[in-house]
Amino acid sequence: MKQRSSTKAPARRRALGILGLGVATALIVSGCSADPAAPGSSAGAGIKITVLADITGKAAFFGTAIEEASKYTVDELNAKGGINGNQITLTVKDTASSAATASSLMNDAILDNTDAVIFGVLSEEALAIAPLAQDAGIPMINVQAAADGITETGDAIWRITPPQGNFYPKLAEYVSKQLKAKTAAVFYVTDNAPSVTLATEVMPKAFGDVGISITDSVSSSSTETDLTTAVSRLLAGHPDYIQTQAIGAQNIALITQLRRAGFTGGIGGGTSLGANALAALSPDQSNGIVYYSSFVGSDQLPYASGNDFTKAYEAATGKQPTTFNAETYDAFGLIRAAVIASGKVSRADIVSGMAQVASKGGFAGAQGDPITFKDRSADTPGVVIQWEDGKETLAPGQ
Amino acid sequence: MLQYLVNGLSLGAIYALFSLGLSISWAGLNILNLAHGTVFMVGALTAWLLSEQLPGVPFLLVLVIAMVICGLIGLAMELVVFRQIRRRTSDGNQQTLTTVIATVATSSLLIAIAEQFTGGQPQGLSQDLFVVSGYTVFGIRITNIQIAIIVIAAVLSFAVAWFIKRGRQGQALRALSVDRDMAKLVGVSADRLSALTMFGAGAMAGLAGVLLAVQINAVEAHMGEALLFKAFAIIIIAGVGSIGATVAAAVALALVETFVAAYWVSDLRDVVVFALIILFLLVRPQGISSKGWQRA
Amino acid sequence: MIDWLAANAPLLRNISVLALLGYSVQLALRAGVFSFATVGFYAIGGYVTANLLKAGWNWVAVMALVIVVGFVFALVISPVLNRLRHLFLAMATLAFTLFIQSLALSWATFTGGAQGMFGVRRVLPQGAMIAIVVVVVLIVWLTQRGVLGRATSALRHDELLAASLGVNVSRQQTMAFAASSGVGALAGFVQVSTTGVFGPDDISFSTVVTSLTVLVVGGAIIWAGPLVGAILVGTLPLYLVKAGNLSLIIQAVVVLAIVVYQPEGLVGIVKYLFSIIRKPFRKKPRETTAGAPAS
Repeated sequence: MKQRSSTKAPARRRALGILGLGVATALIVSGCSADPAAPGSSAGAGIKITVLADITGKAAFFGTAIEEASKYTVDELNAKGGINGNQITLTVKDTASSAATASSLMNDAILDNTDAVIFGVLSEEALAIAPLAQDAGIPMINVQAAADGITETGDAIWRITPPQGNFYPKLAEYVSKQLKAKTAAVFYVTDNAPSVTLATEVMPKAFGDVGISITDSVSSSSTETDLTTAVSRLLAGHPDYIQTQAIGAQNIALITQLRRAGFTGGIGGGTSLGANALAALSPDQSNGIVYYSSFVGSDQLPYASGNDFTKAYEAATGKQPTTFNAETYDAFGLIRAAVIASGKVSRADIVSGMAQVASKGGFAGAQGDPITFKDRSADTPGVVIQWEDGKETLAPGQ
Repeated sequence: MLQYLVNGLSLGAIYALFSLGLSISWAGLNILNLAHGTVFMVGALTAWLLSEQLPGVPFLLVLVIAMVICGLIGLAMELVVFRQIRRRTSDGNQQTLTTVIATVATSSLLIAIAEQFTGGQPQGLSQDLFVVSGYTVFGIRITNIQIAIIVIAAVLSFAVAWFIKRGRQGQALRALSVDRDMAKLVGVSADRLSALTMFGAGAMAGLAGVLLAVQINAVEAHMGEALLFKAFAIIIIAGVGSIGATVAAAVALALVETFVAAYWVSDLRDVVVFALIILFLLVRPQGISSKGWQRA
Repeated sequence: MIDWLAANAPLLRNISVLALLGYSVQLALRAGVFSFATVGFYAIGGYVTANLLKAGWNWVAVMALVIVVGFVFALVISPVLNRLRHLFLAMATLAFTLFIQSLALSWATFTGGAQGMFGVRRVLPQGAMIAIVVVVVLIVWLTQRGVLGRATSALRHDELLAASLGVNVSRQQTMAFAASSGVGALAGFVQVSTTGVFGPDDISFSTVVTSLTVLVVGGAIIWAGPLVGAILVGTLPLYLVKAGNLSLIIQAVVVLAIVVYQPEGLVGIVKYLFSIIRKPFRKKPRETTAGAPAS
C-alpha cells in the first residue's frame, strides 16, 4: 500500500503523458483518413478496379512497382476511351505486406461495388484472401504469388504470372548452348516453398533434358548469414554453372563469395534476382549473370505487343519497365479482354469473360502474344535476362 | 576438412564478438536484450551508409564510427528505457518482463528506421570500403577479412576477460550482478556502470556487424535476428557472464554447425542448435562454466 | 449490427486471435511463469486443426481435441520448465517455439512444409468465434478473483512467500502453464477455422513479438488487458497504413512509450481516468481486484 501511494503522483503524470500521445496519434490518423471521399461515387457506366499491393513492408519493392504500373495502365486505357466505353475508376490500397490487413481490405472491396481486384505479391496474403474473393464471386487476378493452392481456390481466382517452372527449359537451353556448361550446382532455401520445388524437382529435370548434370544441391534456411560452407560445397564439384534459388541478401552474399573464391563460370537465378540482388552489386561482380523471368523491358522481344509496351512505358514514365510492371499491365489487359468477351462489366461477367478469353487462346500483352492460360494461370515460356551495367537486357541468342 | 575448420573458426569469431556483449549485459544488468541483433545490424547499416555517402572513407574510421554509434544506441537504451523501467517498477519479475518486452519494442523501432534507409531491399557494400583478397595456403582458401575477424575477436575477448577480472569497473560489475542493492551500499555506482556496460555491449555488436557485412557484402534490416538465436544457444551452453566459456562455446557451436552443413544435410544446422539448447537446459542449465555469475 | 459484423469480419477475426494469444501469455505470466511458448502451442493448435478439418471432422470436436492436445503437451514438457526460472525459462520457451517452427518446415506431410496448409474449410461461425473469446475472458476474469486469484498473484511476486502461505507452487505454475498452452492452441484453432490457411509465416518470430505487444499495450496483469491490447494492435495498422512507410515507426514508438512509461498499459490509463471521475462520490477507498496484494 505504501508503495502505491508514493508512486501515485508520477503515475498520474505518466498516464496523462501517454494519453496526450494517444490523442496526438488519433488526431494524425483521423486527419489522414478524412481525405479519401467515398470512391466509386461515379456509378453508372464505368468499371471499378481495386489494386491491393504490398506498397510498404517486406515486399514494398514489388508493391511499389505494381502501384506505378497500375496508374500508368489506367491512364493509358482511360485516354483510349476506357474498356468498352467504360471509364476505369482505380483504387490502390496498401496491404502493408500483412495477411490480416489484406483480408480487411479485400473485405472492403467486396462490400463496396468493386468489379475486379488485382493483388500482388505475397503468397501468404493471396492464400488468405482468395477464399474471400471466391465466396463473393469477385474476380481476383494475382501478380506473382507463386504458391500452390491460390488459383485452385475457384473460378474467380486467376494468376497473370506464369509458374516459374515454365521458364526453366529456356534457361537450361541457354546455359547449355550459350554458356556451354556441362555441369551445374544449385543453392536453395528450405523455408521457401517455390525455391524447394524448383531446385529439387524442376531444375534437375530441365537441366537433365539438355544434358547438364547436377554436381551438388546445397540448401540453407533463408535467415542464415554464414554461407562460407555452402560456397565451399558448391565449388567442391567444380561445376561450370551455379544456379541460386535463394532470396534477398543471401543472393548477394552467395554471388560475392563465389566470385571472391575465384569462380569464373556462369551464375544464374530466378525472377527477382536483378532487382533484389544484382542492383546492389558492382558491375564487375554482376555483369553477365543471367536469370529467367516472364518479361524483360526490351524492344528486341520476338512479339510486337511486348516491344510496344516497353516503348510506351519508357516514353510515359522515363523508366525501363520491370517484370512486375509488365505483369500488372497484363492483369488489366486480362480484365479488358474479359469485358470485351462478355460485353458487360459486372463481377460475374468478368469471371465468365476470363474463362472465355482463356478458352479462345488468350490475348496479346506485355508478356507474350498471345498470353495463354492453363488452370487459370498465365502460361508463357518467358525470357532469359542478362544483367549488364545495372540494367536488364534480353540475353543474346534465345 | 581443414577448409571447413577455417570457415568454422571465422564464424565462431563472429559469434563470440556478438555473444560477449549479450552475455555481459545479462550477467551485470539482468537484461535479456532481444535488440542486440538489431544493434549489430545498425553497425552494418552504418558501414553501408558511410561507404555510399563518403566514397573512399578509410575502413578504420568506418569501424570506429560504427562502434561509437552502436555504443550510443546501447547507452540510449539504458538511459531512456531500462533505467526508466527500473525506476517505475519495483517488482523484480515484472521489471524483468517489462525490460525484455521493451527490448523487443526497441528492436522493432530500429528495424523500422533501418528500412527507411534500405528501402526494405538488401544492399551491397561499396567494393572500395575494404578490398577483400583471398589467399590459398596448402589448398585452404582464406580471405584477409576472415583473418581480421579472427584476430580482432581473439584480442577483444582477452581484453574483455582481463577487464572483468582485474579492472576496477569489471569487479564492480560482478558485484552488481550478485546483488544490485548491496553493490550500491558498498559504493558502486550502479547507474554509471550499467551505462558503461550497455555502451560496451553495443560497440562490440556494432563491430561484429561491420565485419560480417564486409564478409558477406550484404546489409539488410533483419540480418541480426538469426544471430540472436545462435547467441542464445551459446549463452546457455557457456553459462551467463563467463567470458572464456562464451568464446569456447561460440567456436564450438560454429564448428558443429559448419561440419553439419558440410558433411550432413545443410539445412539441419538449426535443428542441431535447438537440440543443443534443449540438451543443455536438461542436463546442465548453469552451462559448462561452473563459475557463471548466475544460476538458472 | 449484422452489417457492421460483416463489414468488419476480418478485423474481428484478427482481434479475436490476437486476444487469445495475449491471454495465453497472460495466464502463464500471472503465475510467475515467464513463458514465450504461446506461439509454439499456437502452431500445434493450428496444424492439428488444419489436418482434422481436412479429414472431415466436426469443428466442435476439433476444438475440444485441440484444447486437450495443448493441455497434455504442456504437462509433458512442464517438468523440464519447472527446473528453470526467469530469463532462463524465457529463453527455453523461446527455443521451444523456434524448435516447433523448424519442425513445421521439415515435417511436410503433416504441416505442408514451407508452403503451409491451405484450402481448409472455414467452418467457425462468427458468433461462435466471439463466444470463444468471451468465455476465455470470463474464465480469466473469474480466476483473478478470490482465493485462486490471490494465490497466483502471490506466486508472481514472491514464490517463497507464496509457498509459506500454503500455495503449492509447482502445481499452480504447472496448471497455469497448461491453461496458457490450451488457450494458445485454441488461438491456432480459431485462426485456421476462420481463414482456412496456416503456414510458417503465421508462427514466425514476429508473431512472438505481436503476442507480447498485445499483452503489454493492453495491460500485462489486468484481466481486460489482452482484449484492449488486441483491439489496438489489430486496428492501428489499418489506420496507420495511410502514414505509409512511417507507419511501422509510429507503431513501434507508441508501443515503446506505453511499455516504458505506462507499465499498466492502456487499461491502466482507463482505470486512472475512472478513478478521477469516481473520486468525488466515493466515501471509502476501495481495493481494486487487480491490485497488488499487501506486501
